[in-house]
Amino acid sequence: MELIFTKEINSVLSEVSNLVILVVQNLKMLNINNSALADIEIALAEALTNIVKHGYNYENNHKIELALYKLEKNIILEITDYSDEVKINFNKKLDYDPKDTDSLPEGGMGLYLMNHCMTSLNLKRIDNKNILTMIKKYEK
Amino acid sequence: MNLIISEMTNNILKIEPEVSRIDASVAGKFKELLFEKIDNGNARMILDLNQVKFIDSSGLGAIVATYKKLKANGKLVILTKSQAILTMFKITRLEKVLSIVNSEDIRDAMKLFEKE
Repeated sequence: MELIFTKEINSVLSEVSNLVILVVQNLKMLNINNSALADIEIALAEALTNIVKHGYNYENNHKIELALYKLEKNIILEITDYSDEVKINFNKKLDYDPKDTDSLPEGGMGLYLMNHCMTSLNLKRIDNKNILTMIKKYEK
Repeated sequence: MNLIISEMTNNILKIEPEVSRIDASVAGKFKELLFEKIDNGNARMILDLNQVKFIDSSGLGAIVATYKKLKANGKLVILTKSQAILTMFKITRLEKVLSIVNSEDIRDAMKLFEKE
């Protein structure tokens, strides 16, 4: 498994934006197809935003670590945070009736998007850390 | 930098974000500014997303909230030819509900108001 880069940010939404941009820039150099790249961008933004919003409750003095790896035709993103343990259902459906416009979702789409965009998602709790591993299989 | 710029033509307010990414870091302010336009009496709006290259679920949420606020007494049309943005509307099935015009030409979006 080849390490592409690691980066640590504070739990601040503007730092999340910058980190996502940095990852996309790095992945472009690996000649990943645009569709896979777009999927990784969405899933990463949603995962990091979830940590800031729900893990750290918008407190900006916490750390989030990202390690980006490549293994054959897989991009692996390992995201570590130090918030409380969370139980996440990655198979959450985006369940609404498009005809009922009052029920349209204004939030709660993040997990659905992560699951839709990535090949696999796994969350582990190790040594008081949440470690989310997201894998995207891609074709060049 | 302002987050949005707006321009009134034929009683339709065209709104264009001045950022290339509408994510959680700006979505709250973005929604607030859109709501402000509605509260100021603008009921017919075109949201031109052609300069936006990325939108996340927070940005989508801001657009959905704006649509809900307008739907009783107004209309929101989204104008974009950006594949990344169109894909997000498709994945979330919002394309079935929102008025989305796949074009860069503002006149294509204005046609949807002519039919009223």
